[in-house]
Amino acid sequence: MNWNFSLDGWEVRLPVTDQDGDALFELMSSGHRLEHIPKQPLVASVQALDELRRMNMRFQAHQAAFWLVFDVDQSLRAMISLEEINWIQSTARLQWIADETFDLEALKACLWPIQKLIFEELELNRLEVRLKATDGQAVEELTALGFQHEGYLPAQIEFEGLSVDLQIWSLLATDIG
Amino acid sequence: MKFTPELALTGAWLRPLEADDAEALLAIYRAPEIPGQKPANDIQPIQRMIELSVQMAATQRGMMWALEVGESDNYRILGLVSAYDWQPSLLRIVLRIDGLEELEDAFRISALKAVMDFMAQKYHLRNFAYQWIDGQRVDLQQVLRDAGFVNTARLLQAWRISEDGFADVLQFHCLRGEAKPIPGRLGEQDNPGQNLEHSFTSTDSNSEQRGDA
Repeated sequence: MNWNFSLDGWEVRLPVTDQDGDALFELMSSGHRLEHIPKQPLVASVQALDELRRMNMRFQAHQAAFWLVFDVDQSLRAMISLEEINWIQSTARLQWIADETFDLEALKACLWPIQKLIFEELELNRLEVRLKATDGQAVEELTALGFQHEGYLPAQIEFEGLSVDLQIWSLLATDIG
Repeated sequence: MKFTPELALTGAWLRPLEADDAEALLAIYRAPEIPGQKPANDIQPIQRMIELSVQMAATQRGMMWALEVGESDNYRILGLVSAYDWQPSLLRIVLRIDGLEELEDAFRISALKAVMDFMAQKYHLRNFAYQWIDGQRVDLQQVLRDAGFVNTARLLQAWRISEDGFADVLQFHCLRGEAKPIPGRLGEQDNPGQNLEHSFTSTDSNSEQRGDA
């Protein structure tokens, strides 16, 4: 099974623990890129190494998969993750973190081979996104990508002293044809 | 040590599972109310579940109660109340009731309320979820509403019912209004002198060993 994709202008590949730490730290050290999840930004580069090790372990355990998206200059522009894979229910959760210039067209282009892998090769049936935002860029992107809004899950986490509801969106195998 | 308490209801009670309950629980799982769940025939997994229910409670992963209906010494197990997917630090948990057909909805409601009251008070849980799966009795949704739950989402094809069939899940939540516990460092909220009394007021061997007069 091929997990790495060379696209027109993009390289989408699994992370390499020994070499991607600095780029991942750069991507994840900016708070507003993580607001939609929500997640605290990284504050020390060693955290990125820790994240990469966890990604590797979870991938090996068939629990999750992570892709780093590089542009033609080999700059890391986004990370796309497939988490909480439930092989019995045939579901998984999708998430992405991107820099400010990574637009909808770029997201569509990079997500397409990943979606095909998820639905056709991994044979999952349901892809879910949970996010804090009720409006803004992430919501526009989800709508454009064909995700359906299903409702919300209340009081899922405490973040910066506030109880956070997560909006829930899904894309089914039958949705992409 | 017992982690699962007995909870009294009107005309019924909830109590921890015991080894002798296996046959009664098997009867419940012979006609499962969850779509896609195969009818159980083997008692061994039920016996194992009873054993694990103790470990679940001890490690704060879940809790299970037998729901017995009747009066005085004439009780009969008609249902099983489960609390699972316990997230202690996020103060949330998922509830579920499996019952025989003759289990009245009023007992389901009072059982859910009793479990939520207990877990909110004892473990400070504030967010109780319940998943109704398409194919279950529709009036169970009203049971959940009467117990204080609100439907917040319909999860499309989120529950597998066969090799290639899936059912929608209605996600219900009941949020409790009690104040959340205030986090603090270990010992910060304890009485700093709580053990001193036991250490220094007794006339036991401690004082003799210290050579006190």
